[in-house]
Amino acid sequence: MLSGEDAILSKDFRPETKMPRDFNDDRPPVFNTWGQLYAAITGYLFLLIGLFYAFTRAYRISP
Amino acid sequence: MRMLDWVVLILSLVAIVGYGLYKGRGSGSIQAYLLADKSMPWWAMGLSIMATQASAITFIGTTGQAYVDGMRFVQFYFGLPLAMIIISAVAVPLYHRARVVTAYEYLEQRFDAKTRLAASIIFLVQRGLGVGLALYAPAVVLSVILGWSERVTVLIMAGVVISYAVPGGIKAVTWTDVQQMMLIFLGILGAFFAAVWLMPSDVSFADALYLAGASGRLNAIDFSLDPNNRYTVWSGLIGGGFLALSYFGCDQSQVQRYLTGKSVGHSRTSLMFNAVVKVPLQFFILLTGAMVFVFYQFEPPPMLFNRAVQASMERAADVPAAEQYHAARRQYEQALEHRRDTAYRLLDARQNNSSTPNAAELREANRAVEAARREGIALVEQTGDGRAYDDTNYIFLTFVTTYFPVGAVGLIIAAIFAAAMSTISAELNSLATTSMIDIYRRHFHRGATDRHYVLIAKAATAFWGVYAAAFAFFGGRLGSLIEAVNLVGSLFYGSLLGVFVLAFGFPSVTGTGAFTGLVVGEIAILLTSQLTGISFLWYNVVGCVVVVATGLLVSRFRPA
Repeated sequence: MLSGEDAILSKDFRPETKMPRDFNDDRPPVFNTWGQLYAAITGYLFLLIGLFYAFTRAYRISP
Repeated sequence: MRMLDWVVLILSLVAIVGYGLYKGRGSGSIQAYLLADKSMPWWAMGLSIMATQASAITFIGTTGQAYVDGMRFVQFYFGLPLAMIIISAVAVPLYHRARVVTAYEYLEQRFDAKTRLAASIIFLVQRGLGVGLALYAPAVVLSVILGWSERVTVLIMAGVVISYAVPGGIKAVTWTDVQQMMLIFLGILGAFFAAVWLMPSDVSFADALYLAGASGRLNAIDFSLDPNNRYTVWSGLIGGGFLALSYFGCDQSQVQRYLTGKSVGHSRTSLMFNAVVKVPLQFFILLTGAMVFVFYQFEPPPMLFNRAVQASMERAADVPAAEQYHAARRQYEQALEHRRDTAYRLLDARQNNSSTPNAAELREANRAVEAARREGIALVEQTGDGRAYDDTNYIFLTFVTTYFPVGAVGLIIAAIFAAAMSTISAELNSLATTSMIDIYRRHFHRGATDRHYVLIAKAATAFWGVYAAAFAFFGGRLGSLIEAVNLVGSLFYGSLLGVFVLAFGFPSVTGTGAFTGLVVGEIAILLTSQLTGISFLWYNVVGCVVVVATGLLVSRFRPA
């Protein structure tokens, strides 16, 4: 498969803009699919925001 | 710095160079020198990505930021995990399959040579200025705090980095980044525990948190919708997210880190590692700064944290100015004493469940201290060259060098050197890569041997290292240019991101559309920065949206 500079010099080459269906990807280190991992990290982010908000509220010492 | 501190620092620097040279062996081909033969495991890439982004000023400035403004800066990083997910899902597999060495090579595959050239030049200008600043800024602070020559500090940092980055290429850079990130973690942990341990014996960690909260320093979350408010959840998620997308997805200094991965999975995992660790890490650094603030409620902080400026004010030849300064200092010391008493009484009241004094009194005491400090700062600005005085970057190091035990000072200074060098080495490596691949090989000398291109890449690495040192040498004379350098990143990232969004997401967009979008997007950002007061974090959103809209429109009416 042409790539890099070779691809640029080839008139017929068209770069991929989306992954082909037969793309053989590694499994993520946790969960079965990358989609599940991404969802978990998104959930983790919002959990962090929630914890930080609780922290802010707990230490918002009002007069 | 005492003897043990010097031993710790020198041993750290020697270990870094030695390890870098060892790991960089066998980098004789372009694939090895620039992409480590695609052999890097995810955890090495992940730590390298983190080390590249965390500069010395990030380390010492973030703690200072919390001291001055509280912890709301953590929100700036909220968009980072989302950006990592998008880059992992979209960009990483496409870059790997295209087998590019630089992100901008992909733009020529996708659009045309002029778009690639424009993007690579934007990167070289932006990152070239950035690497000079990454060297200059910590050198200034270290030279003031430690009494070293600024130029000697610059020479040491640049010299150490060049000594392993030039011969070892990306393997040396990545593996030393891993080492340096470990040192940075150790430094951060040490700083936090030292700050808590150094509190008066009758002030517990819970007391310290209470006082920090009462002083408004634990303000991590702000849901305000005001677009002029720099740090909110929304500016962090959206503005910060766009900035992270641009920096980690389109800036060669980061893209090259994960292009060295053994596989797409390893590259993705390295980004997910950052998505998980970065936000809590920043929270912890900011909390350390808040603890330093509480510490200084009980020990008197200097009115001016920049010792060189403080010394010059105290020795001022102009007698009326010196008298004014001493009067301001006496007022400041009185305000400090009142604040300390208020803090102790507040803790007693809390223990006795009494309602007086309350947090309002402590806030008032803090305001009085700040007002007295501002008077001193105003005198500095009057007697100086008119530039605004900002000593935020000196707060943490003043604390470290004044109160830390022997050996620990050396550890923190070594961590700061590590933070600076990890950023600089990655930037030099990426500048050399883009110079060689996108400019030299593409436009001046095709078809040469691998050996030739590796030599050029090494020469380019050395060139950019010398350039960065020269920039740092003359940095003090550049005045407002330093502020302009900081602005450059926010002015160009949005447009660059927009071009990559077009490349990845819109197959119908042509090279003409992308290039036109880039130009129009830049104009939109410049107008936004000049005509509105919105936070710089939104410039990336503006730039990206305008580039994408323009690219789609032009491509529709001028198809290839």
